[in-house]
Amino acid sequence: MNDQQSRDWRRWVEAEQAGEDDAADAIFGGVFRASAGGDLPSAQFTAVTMAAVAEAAACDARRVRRIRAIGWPVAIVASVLIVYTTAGLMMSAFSAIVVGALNLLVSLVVKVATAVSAGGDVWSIASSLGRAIAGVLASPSVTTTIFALQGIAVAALIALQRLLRSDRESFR
Amino acid sequence: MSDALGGSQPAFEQIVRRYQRPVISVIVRMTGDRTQAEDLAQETFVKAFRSLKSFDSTRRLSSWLFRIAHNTTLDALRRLKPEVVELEGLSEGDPHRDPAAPPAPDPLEQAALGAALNRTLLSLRPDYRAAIALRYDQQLPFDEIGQILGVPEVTARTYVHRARKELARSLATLGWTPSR
Repeated sequence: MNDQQSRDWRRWVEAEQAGEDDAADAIFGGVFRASAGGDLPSAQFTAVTMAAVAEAAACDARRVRRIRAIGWPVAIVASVLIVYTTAGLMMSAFSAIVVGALNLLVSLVVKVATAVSAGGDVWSIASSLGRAIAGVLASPSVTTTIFALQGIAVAALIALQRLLRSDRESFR
Repeated sequence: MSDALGGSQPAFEQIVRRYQRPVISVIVRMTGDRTQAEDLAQETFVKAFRSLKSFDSTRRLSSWLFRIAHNTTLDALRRLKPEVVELEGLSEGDPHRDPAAPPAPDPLEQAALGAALNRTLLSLRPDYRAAIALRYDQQLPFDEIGQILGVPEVTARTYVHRARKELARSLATLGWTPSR
């Protein structure tokens, strides 16, 4: 240990013992760096690492191609199966929506006409319309249909986003 | 940099060349094993290449690489338990040393002290080792160390403070006291 290192070592220990954190922080850096054994990477490190990177990139590209090759037929078959097995439910949902829309329309017309003929103000008409809309939305079939449609929309968006991302990756 | 972010391997090679030494240095401090450190550094760069699209270009690339290196090393240390070394035999640079006596002015003492410091470092918990390496080898500010370790700045400061205290205490216990 040369004089400077010995001095730094002593000052560091004294600073730690005295609780002088800033001084200890400043001095310890020199002591610590002097203890480093030289962390030069081996001569082949870059070449070996880049070979591993190239292999990883090739592996990723193969995986993306495989997913795309398998993904589209699987997606088409799955879509056909889903449509086939859920056609009844979808028709039921569609009819529920149509019936709900018609009920809403009729209810709106009746409520507005009743409110106008009774000489109600704008707020009473608005509250009648609100009750009519809430009445339709609160029916179990309409609520279920709305949730189902939202679920389908979310699933479609996620599938679309994944497909677009795998396309973008494959062009790298 | 933008070429590398676009997935260009020649551009990424420049990043590897530029950051390999600091990344290996931090990992060596955390593992104490030079060969393992190179393997983990290689794993770090492969992970970085695969995750380039998640890199936030408003942040420093070095911090991002250090964070990946830190997490990769922690995973490796968990796989290869035990993760800390016992301090027995740490004064092996001079096994007959009297703990009460001041160190002799031996020309080999620097190397022995370096070895003792490095082995004492390995007795600390891995987060402390990383904090010490980032603070004193890489000379990073506490906020950046916090980002790399995934802790608030004040916690990073505490890690460094406690680690330094533990190092001083362990080295003193083993008879490494400064000569007057």
